[in-house]
Amino acid sequence: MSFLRLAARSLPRSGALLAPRTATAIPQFRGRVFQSAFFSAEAGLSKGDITARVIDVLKGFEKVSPEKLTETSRFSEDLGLDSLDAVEVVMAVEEEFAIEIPDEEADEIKTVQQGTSLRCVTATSNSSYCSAIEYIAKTPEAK
Amino acid sequence: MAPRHSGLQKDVLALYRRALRMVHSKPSAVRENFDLFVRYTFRTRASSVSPRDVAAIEHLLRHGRRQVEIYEDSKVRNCFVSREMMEWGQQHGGRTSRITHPA
Repeated sequence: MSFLRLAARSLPRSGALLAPRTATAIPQFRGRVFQSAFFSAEAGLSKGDITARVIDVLKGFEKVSPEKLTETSRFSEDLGLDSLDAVEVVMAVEEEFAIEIPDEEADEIKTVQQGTSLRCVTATSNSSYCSAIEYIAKTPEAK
Repeated sequence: MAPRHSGLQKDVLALYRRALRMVHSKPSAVRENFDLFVRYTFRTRASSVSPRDVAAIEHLLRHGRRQVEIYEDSKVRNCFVSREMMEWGQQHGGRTSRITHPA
């Protein structure tokens, strides 16, 4: 008989244990869903928007003639910028999007297009400017 | 596609980037002075040495790094701009406008 009593006593207890667990599990799950939903909405910095902003940044440089400036222009060949100018451009883009591009990647940016695509790819601590793709996969601090 | 940079070129560009970051860390009232100083110094020194004179470039790099280190200190509040630099700056404008977005 004693083992039955034991079983009876253990039942509600396990039920009580289970109940809060599910209760907490559900809001957590929901929270995560909402968070990611908000996040993806925020991350939607459209390609056209990025391109326009990068081109605006470039227009601010005296050396760059606006008529030559297109989405596909290369810094050195088309725009007549040297490597020091390119550094300045990349820094200006960094400032514009409130991000920091690491040196190795910054050295690789040689066209407007590339500048914008890197923009798409770069995630930052400032999550409002984050958009997707491979850089996020590479960056653990990307949120 | 432009050729890849050599190690020395990368060092110079990295120093330039660091110097420009230093400029951004300065208060906006004097930032212009630092900006002109950095751009002027890099441009004139770059054209003063041959791209093949590695020893000279390395010397300038060492010198530049030390200088940037000193300037990075927040106690450095302003920077001297000579007439030469101002004249150079008028001929070699950098960015004319800075786009400001409301945060």
